[in-house]
Amino acid sequence: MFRILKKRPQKQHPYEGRSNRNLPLSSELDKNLQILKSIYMGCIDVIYHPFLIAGKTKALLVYIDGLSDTEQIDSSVLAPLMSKTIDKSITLQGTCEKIQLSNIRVVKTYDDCIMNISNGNPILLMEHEEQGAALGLAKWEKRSIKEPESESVIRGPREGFVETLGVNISMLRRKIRSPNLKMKKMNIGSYSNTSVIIAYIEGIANQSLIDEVQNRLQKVEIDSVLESGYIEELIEDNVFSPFPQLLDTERPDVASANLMEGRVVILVDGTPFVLIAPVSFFSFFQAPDDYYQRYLISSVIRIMRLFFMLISVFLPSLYVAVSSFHQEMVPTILLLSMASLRESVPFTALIEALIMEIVFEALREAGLRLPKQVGAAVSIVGALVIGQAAVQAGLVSPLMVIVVAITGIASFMVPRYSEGIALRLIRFPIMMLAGTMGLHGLVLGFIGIAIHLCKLRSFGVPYLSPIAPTIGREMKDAFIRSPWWMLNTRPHLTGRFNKYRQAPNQQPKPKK
Amino acid sequence: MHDKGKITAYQMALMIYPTIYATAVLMVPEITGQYVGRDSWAAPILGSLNGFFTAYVLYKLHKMYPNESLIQYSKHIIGPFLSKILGLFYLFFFLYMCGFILKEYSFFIGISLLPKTPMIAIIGSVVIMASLAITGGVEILGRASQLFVPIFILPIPIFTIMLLKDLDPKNVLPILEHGLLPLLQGSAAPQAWFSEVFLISMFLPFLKDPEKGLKWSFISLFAVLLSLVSLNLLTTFLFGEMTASYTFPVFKAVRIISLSDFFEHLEAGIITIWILGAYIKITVFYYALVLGTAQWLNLSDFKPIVLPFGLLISLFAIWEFANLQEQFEFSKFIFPFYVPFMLTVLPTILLIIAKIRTRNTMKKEPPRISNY
Amino acid sequence: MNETLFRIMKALLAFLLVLSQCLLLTGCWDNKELNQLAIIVGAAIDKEKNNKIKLTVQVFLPQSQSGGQQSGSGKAQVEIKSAVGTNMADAASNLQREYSRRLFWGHCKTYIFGQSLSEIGNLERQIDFIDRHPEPREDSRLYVSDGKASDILQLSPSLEKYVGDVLRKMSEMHVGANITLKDFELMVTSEGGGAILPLIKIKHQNNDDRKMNVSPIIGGTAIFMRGKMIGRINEVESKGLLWVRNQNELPEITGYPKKGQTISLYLKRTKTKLIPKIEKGKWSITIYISKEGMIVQNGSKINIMTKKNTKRVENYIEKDVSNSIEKALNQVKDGMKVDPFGFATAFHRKYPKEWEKVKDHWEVVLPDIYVETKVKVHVLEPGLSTTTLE
Repeated sequence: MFRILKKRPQKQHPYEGRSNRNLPLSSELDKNLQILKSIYMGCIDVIYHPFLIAGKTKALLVYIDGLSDTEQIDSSVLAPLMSKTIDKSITLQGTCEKIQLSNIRVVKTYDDCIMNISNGNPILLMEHEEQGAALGLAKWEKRSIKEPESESVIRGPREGFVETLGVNISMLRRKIRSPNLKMKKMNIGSYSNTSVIIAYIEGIANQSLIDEVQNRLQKVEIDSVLESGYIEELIEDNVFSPFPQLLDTERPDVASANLMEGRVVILVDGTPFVLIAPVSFFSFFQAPDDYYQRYLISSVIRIMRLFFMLISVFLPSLYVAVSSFHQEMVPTILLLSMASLRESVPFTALIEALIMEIVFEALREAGLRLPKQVGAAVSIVGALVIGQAAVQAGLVSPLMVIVVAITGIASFMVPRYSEGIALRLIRFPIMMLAGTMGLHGLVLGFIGIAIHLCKLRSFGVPYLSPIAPTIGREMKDAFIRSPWWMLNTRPHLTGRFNKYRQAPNQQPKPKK
Repeated sequence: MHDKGKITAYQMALMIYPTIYATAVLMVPEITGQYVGRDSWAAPILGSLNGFFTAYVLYKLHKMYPNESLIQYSKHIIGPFLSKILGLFYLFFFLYMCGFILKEYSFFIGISLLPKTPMIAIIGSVVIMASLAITGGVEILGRASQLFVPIFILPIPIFTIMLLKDLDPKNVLPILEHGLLPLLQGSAAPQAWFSEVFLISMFLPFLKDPEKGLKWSFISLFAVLLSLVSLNLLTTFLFGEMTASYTFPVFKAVRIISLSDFFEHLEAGIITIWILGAYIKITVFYYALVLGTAQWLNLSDFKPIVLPFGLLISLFAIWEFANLQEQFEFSKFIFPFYVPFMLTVLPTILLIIAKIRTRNTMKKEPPRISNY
Repeated sequence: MNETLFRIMKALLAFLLVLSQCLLLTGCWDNKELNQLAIIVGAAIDKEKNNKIKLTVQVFLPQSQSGGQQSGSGKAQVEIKSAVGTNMADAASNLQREYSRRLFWGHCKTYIFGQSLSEIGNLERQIDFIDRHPEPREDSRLYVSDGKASDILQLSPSLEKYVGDVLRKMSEMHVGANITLKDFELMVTSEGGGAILPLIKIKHQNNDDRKMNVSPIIGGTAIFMRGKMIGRINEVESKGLLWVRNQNELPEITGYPKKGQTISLYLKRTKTKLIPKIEKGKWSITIYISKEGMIVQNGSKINIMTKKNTKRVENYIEKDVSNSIEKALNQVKDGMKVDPFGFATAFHRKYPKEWEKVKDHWEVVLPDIYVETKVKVHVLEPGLSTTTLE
């Protein structure tokens, strides 16, 4: 963590970071107490508990109320140390041996002390000792493990990450028990001092990828990291893109599956959302269910998802282009009824589409933030307003309502919210293009997006792989989900360093 | 190297396919139809010979100077002064071709999709999109063509199937009624288009797998040949002798697709897909122009000149032809000589000179790298 | 930091500017909203005085359906207006003066030409508009009317919404000739130059001579020689003509074993081959027609379940088929000296050199060509009953 403190000379930057408190502890207990008190001035939740070891040696226990297990402090620390049986001239080493705890570390500087106190580990300081002991007694209120609401599945594990880093790590470890699951810890945030962990599997993940992730994380200098989104924006490849370049998930099974494909998982303390890198466009269309349900069904559903993704981006523009530029494309009977339906609509198709799509987005956003009971009301009002009243008032045509409804449903078929919202956003510029130049505009919009996606990279991996650049054998897990007995190799771009994930020829066959 | 990107031979083949085919599909059936009528399917077969020859010549040159494009290695062959002049010729040619393609594109879009939209809007919007890809370098071009070309090829079999009930194969009879001469005349236009395979000389230095360069160029040419022959057959099956009397026979063919009452009038959709191929063609020529200029002027980076050249090619596109008739006349009478001269004859001369020079230096003094 | 922010702001500003331009520009250029269009669903072209033509169009009148409460579709309202001009484009532009909305040809798939206009000739000069203008379609169907073409458009049919739809659906069902613009062009430019178009008549129901619920019918075929109508044939002859052209007519054929007896076949497959032959300067052509079908009515005493009798039934029907072909050949080939059968094309394909010699005076050669008709009818099934009630 001290890396953060080293200021690079070339950086002319007003940001100070944290002041240097990297002083060694003093051997005088009173002085130590004084300094700690000055550091924690105004922090009423810090508790200083002076006591005498064996009734002789002066000692001090510092911890923050509510972060540590006070019962344990009383029974495992204070009780053995204050008993009269202890040798009078005891050293810190000896004291630690008496404490009935498994997790004790030695601290030497004030900064160490502060770190530990903030993390909930009480610090034990003794007279005439230039070091202290950090007792692993952190304990605070945690949310219990629940099913992640943003990524619910029909079939699959129901547990989701929680806000506590330690719990999250344990969940990963429970899935992948191999010692090859390695984690690198760093602290980011000069004030929040948040623990960030890079998890990867040694022997599968590319070493240069791990180094790159670590490098990018190390460059982050920020006050606080309250959610993994902070980090995401600071380490992604193209900051001007609406498309997410890291996958966020709440599910340990998704994180583990990605680890097994050679990707790196970044866990951030204080949020259930972990980041996965590198990812491609198609990663956002792989729902966890895909791998648990039968492959045929998963494949069909995945193709449907991609198809509806196109619908959600292009349908409103197609409507605009066809109804105000290329009327000859519509079958005659449909055109005649379209003409009747649009007869009294005062707006051009583009304005009509824009109004409806914006109202739809507003309804979606409004419904998202409200409590569940109110949210239902919003959706009812929205449905009535959009579906009925607007049509009856002659503001929009019923066809437009159908288009908006289909677009809305289609956009929710993208399993990842971050990708879905990006796709929903880009349909507005395409609608404008379609309103200016019809299908020509629409296809130019498509080209623009495609070129942008071709240019995107996520930690060096082309975003549109495996279709551009085309990697034929990777198609097995892009448009379709091949059966497990065919998924013998890991994805090429991330898993080529340990190519095979299972024995070949495992297709169940009758015995000959 | 001005572009650090690397592409595969397969990606290059995908770029070359629409580079030849995208505009050939518009103009070639009409032009060949004028000369050979119902034998127009045979014209591309003859014409493609030139394409294979050009690809071979450029590959041979590439083998001799593996890391350079024609603009760069010509100085090893004919000396720095002459090579600068030759390079200038080529750059002007590319500039002219960009304008030519854009003009054709805007004419076609103007007729079929957007009759009232000003040409500058159509050209400008495409050029902006093309420059977007070019700033990404050759890698992005390769990926974009991997994305677009499959979508671009897809409609050909689909609409052939949809037209099946209207086809009359007997329309091709009698074969070669008026002898071979009209066929030779008719193959003049396709061979000009086929010689556009020259563009591989700009891409060969970027190949990850240069040994496959020739193979994939040939595959690409063969695919173009196949597509052109099948489309010429299709239009002949449909229209017989009438083919030559339509401005864009393939477009006319698409217009009569009607499958049940619902799947009809698909031409706008198919043009939309065609735009993807035309876009690759424009981008490839535009890229050749920009990269060639950077190489000719020894610039360290080509990106800063992308937009200025975009403006220039837009202007060329607007100035080149007053109307579509003029462009057709040009394509019929001048294009078949002009293009192959630049793209086939000149590289062949270069190859011959290079061969003689290497032989001479071999004789006089054993291996010496030219120190120009 | 500020610089980047500035860059982002600049990019955003430029983006918004472009978008606002897009918004402003809609309404210019090619944007044409549905409620700014007058959708033409049928057109009729008639002869006028002074070498002019009269263009009559049927325009769809969209009924505003705001409220969505209206009961069903009902009948589409169409409005008919006409204008005179020197050619179609001119007449169309004159017509435009009468409409507040832009005339839109993209869905006009029926063009009816008046008989008098067709008989002047040079119909292809009018058709050129349909062919060249980007909006009209190649798969539009062309018709010739018996009398004034504009009268046909005035009809309001009972089943379909407008006349054009009736005609198109009848053609698609192979009532009469099914000729699209492209087919007509191919025929006119073919070697023989003979072409056909379906002929439309108005059939008044008995005791009801109002215009309501009067349908147009396709009654026979108009025969063209390079854009000039030179004659007409009735339904039976059209059937023969279409069979020679390897096109379908309605699938039922009836044979007459004896007087008062009938037997009908529903055709499932039919195929025609023209085999030209030149022997010692004598030109002849053989028409091979094979038909397969199922018996749908047996109004005779023949027991159709035996092999021998099946042959007999086939013979009766063959007779009927060759009968209508003979009639057609008589009328068209010998009477009008026109070749819409495709004989010229067949000769050209097989004997290109000989064709070269006669191609300029084909109409002289044509009547002398000996035509042999070989019909083969094959009964596949007896239908659902074996015997008759007799």
